[in-house]
Amino acid sequence: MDSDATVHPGRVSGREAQPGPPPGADTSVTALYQAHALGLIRFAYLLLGERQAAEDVVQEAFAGLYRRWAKLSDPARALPYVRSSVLNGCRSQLRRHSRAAAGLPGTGLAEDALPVVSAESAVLSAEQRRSVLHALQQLPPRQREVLVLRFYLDLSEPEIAAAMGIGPSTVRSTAHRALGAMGRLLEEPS
Amino acid sequence: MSTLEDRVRGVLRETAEDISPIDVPPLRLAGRRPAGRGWLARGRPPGGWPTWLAPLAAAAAVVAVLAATLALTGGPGRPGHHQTGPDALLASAPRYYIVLTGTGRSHGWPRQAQVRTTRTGRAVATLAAPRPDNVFLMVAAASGVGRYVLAAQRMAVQYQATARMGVPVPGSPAAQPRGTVAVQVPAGPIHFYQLQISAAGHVSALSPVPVPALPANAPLDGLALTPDGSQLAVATRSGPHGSAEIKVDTLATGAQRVWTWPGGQPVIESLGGTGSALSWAADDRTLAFARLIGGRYKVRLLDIAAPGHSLAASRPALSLDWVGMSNRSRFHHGRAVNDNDTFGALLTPDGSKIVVATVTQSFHPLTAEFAFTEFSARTGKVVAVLGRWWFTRRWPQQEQAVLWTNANGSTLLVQAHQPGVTLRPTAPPDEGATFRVEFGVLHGDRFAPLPGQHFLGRLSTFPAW
Repeated sequence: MDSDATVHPGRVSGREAQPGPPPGADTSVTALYQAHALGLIRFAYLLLGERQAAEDVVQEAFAGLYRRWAKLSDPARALPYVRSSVLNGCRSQLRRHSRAAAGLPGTGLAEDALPVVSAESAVLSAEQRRSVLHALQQLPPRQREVLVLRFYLDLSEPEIAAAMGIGPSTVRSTAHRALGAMGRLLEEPS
Repeated sequence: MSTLEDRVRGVLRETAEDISPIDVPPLRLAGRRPAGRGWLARGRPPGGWPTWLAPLAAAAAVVAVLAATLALTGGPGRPGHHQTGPDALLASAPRYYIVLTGTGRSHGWPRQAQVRTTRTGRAVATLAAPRPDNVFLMVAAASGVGRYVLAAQRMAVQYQATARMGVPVPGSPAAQPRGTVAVQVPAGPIHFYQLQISAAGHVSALSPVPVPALPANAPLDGLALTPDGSQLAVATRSGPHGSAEIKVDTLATGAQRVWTWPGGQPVIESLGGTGSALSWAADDRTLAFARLIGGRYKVRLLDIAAPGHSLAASRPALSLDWVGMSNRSRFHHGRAVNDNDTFGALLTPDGSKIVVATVTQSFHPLTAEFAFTEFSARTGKVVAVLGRWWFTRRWPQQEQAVLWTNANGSTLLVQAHQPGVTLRPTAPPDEGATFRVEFGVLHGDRFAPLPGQHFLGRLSTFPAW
């Protein structure tokens, strides 16, 4: 498919323009964005470690949803679709920029980039945060994705499976291995 | 659930909050027809940056409210920011308020306290300070139970002269009025009085409360009643360097506890005199107090039920740049902006949020954005933004203030800039402009001006609800 024709259907010249999204698609997509953009940007941020990249991935995911709205058989599938798109977008970003080793945010934060909660609590919070984030960084990407989907987005195993394109049993075993590895890295029993 | 899972969940959630609700950009959808969405459709030329979509449906979630706020307040000079629906908004605020005013043309210390109705602005009672006091300094309110405490003092004229008043008018100096300028100094201790407004609107006389007077030259930095009116917090200073001191008095018994911070900066709010340096949660034990330290405006939470007498034992809750002191910039959606400048802060009665009047300035292009920003009292993160409004030019050097908040911060009584009213429209763009400020009720992005406003020439005459 011609990407320019898809992204800017009204400006295509020399070939037939693609039909635009159906009436009401903008309202539906906007409402979905209002309800879930923050959580999805945060989710992408946890995987990418860059807020601008996270925003771009989520914008592109919703733009993709908008373009494909007419093909969506069930509006209830819109959120799983866009969630999966965000995950795929993050994977693409990480592959493209080889960020896998430095993906998670927070481990290299300057002191003034920490939350402005307080001097005292910032110290405690930063140390705990760094150790856990460092451990998460050591995990293989798939294990990290499972933990973020489970413990940040609070998704069920079937939902994680749908987002990642793997089976529920694989989700279960991946999560088990991920927590075991985290426990060893943090020197805690899992 | 294991400790490890809790830790992972907690760290992920805390880290995710690096992205605050105000960081969510408006949705940009390519190929959408530009017509039919009001100002949003006018924002971008065809072929340029994709047109922003206007959020259309109201949503219950905070994120949805914030996203709508972001998209609906995107343009400088957009009319209608302070939409009406004034009756409903005014009815959602406390029924009465007290304002300290001068008499006649006097702009000196306020000599009378007026009880006014919020909905109409009508004065239902006017009270003078009981002798020997002759001026009011500050007022604290527990409007939910109709109890108010006023601080009063005797002032004496130290120096007085006749002078031309006002700003000279070019070409007509004779038109300048003449008036009396007087320098007043404290001539007695600071006393505390209470009045009660019944449900039927009956206003009692002022009567002393069992709170020890402050010495004549003691600074009164803050005054706040618990929402149930049972306890009064008084912020003052102690020691040779004027360190922070807070006294909490139980009005029924006269019992007093004192917290100090030797060497610590005094309690203050940036405007001075609004009383918002102190505020209570409805639990009657969490007291928020604000201080200025090194150009930062810091709010801490003191648990008065905990043992001890040190303010240092309080919990830091918020740290923001103070107005005029912010020189740091950061990139935010491709724009260089400074951090929040801060005017004052109030703890919501449910204890969940700290409401702050803020301004954020962007340099390229030169714009300023006013808002009432709500921070989590637990994490210090932004959780909501009300009354967002921006305009081109530098911020006009006039302050906004939050004077009252309902239980959860969804409705505020504020002093806010009135959009579209420029008193110096010909001012050079880099000098800012003078805008009219007015009091009113703010709910979400809707603003209802307070009827019957009077001229507020002194910072110490801010109303109290």
